[in-house]
Amino acid sequence: MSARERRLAFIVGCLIAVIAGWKAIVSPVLTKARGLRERAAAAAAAIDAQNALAERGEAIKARDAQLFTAANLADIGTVEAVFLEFVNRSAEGSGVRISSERPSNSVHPQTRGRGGYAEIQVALTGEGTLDAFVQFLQRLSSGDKPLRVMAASLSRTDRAGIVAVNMRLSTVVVKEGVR
Amino acid sequence: MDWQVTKARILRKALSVAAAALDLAARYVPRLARRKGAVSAFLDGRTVTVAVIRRQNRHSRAEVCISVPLGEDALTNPDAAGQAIRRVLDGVRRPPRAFVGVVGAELIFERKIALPPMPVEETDAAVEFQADRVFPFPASEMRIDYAVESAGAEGIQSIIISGITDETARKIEQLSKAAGLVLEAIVAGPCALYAAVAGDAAAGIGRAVICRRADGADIAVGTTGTVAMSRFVRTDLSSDVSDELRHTASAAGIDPDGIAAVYVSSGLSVTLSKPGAVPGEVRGLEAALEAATGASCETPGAAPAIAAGTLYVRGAVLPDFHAPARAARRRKRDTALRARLAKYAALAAIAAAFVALCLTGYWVYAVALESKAARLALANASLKAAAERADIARPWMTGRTALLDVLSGVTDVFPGSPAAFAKSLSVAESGKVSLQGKVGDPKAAYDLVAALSRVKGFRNVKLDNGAADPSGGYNFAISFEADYWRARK
Repeated sequence: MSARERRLAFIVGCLIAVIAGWKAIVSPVLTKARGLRERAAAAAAAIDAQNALAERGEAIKARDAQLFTAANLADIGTVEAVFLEFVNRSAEGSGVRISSERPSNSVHPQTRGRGGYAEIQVALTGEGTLDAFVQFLQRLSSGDKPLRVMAASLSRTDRAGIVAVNMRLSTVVVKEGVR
Repeated sequence: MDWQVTKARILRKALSVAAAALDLAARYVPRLARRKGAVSAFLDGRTVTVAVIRRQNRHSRAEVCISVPLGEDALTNPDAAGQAIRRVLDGVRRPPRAFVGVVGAELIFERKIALPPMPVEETDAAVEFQADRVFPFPASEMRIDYAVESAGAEGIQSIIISGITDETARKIEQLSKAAGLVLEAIVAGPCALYAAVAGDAAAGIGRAVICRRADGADIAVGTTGTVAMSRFVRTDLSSDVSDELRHTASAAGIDPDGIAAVYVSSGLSVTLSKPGAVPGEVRGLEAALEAATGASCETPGAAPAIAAGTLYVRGAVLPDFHAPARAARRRKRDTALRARLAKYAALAAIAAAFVALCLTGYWVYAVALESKAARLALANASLKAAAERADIARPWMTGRTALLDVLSGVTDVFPGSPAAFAKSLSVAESGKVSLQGKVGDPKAAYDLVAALSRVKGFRNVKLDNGAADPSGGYNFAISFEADYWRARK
């Protein structure tokens, strides 16, 4: 083997050694370091999220306390009674006379988050003055329970100042969890 | 004839033979060595002396010369001799492939003949005819060359015929193949050549043996590789061995000028030559060498060689003069190499430890962060569940005032005249609001549409229907979309 061939073989050998060293040593180390960096970044982000959650802790707890909860979403009769009682009380207090009140547990329990929820809907029919109806709505909205009007219809009646009301109200029951 | 005169003539003739041999060797051996060097092996009975001749800076140099004793004659078993040469070459860095075989006197046939004057063209045939007669083998089975010594009285030519048998040449080729070499030349030994001329000391000779290969190509040269080698290593006299030998010669009262040494590192077989030396000097040097080095000096063909003024000492096992310095250099190099390797290893270990430390630290940091995140997640588990519940209930919490907002928007812009009133207001689940009522005239209805369009959160307000009431006034049906309603979803 001539000197030139030996030199060439040496250079090729060095190149192969460098590539092999990179593949066998440097690359795994870099991969390991990259993995650790990603783990640390993910953990730091998780810590930030937990701290942010903790900062909103009081507000979350206060809001959570307003919710209807049930251990078993398939059995929410009690919550339904409480909700109807709240609606009736609001109607009575505002001067709206409810002629028909029809609970409708038509929305089945659904899974969401770590628990789940069920929706209770109530269709009611009544009448009263427009002011009484507005007051009724104010009472409903000023309450601390979750509620929304799904649909509503107001119409004049033959009697002066009296409007007939058809409404469909809805509330939500969440699954009881760790408090 | 006076013996002293005869001796002087013999010496002169021997010198001329040596000069011719050197000239011949100078023509061919350097040509071989100039390319890649050559391996020369002197086959002498049960000993083969291997020399590696290299070309270096316009000089040929004998790099290695080792005598290897064989259990039998070299050409009796050429394969074994070739393998012995191969073993020697295995210890040589990048040995050349060219091979010059040097054969001893016992393998060369030399005769002197006398021929009448004849044209040169006829001499070849006459020599071949005479060779058939004087040699024990037919000329067709030999490789023959000749040299015209002198033209005697009446034009009678004195011719030296030299030759080796084809069998010898074939065995040497076989030997070179066994050694993994390419035969380039077969060289006759010096003593053989001397013996040829010794019969007539007064005769001159200027030619050596040139053998031809079976395929006709010239493959052989000259008289003696050893003499050639001794010539080509003269530049090497500054080496330690040469200095030592010169010192020994000086101590023995012998003029060291002209002593050439074929010296080689391992094996330490030394061949000395001093052309022109008188026998006393040669014997003195031989004795001095034996006394100084403990070497066993063996001089083949001693009488003619010494008479020729050349001493050949083969198989002399001399102390390795270079060994201590070489060992010291090797130790120093090894120590330096070990130190360098240790330094690199230490650096690599430090780097590896640093990288491992960094990775471990990073791993600890990441694990600590993950642990903290896990602890916080555990502590905030109830909060997270509450947040999820609040998130579920958000539409119900934010949509409580949607209907009030719609009513407020409508009543704010509804005309205040006694003739205007709303008959019905309905809000569908999709957020579409339908308003029916009566106003005084169509303009009031359009004004109401325009007013409702300006209410924030009402979009796409349009008059769906409008008609004059028979009893007076204008009935209208307006529809629009309430963003409040959509937002509560």
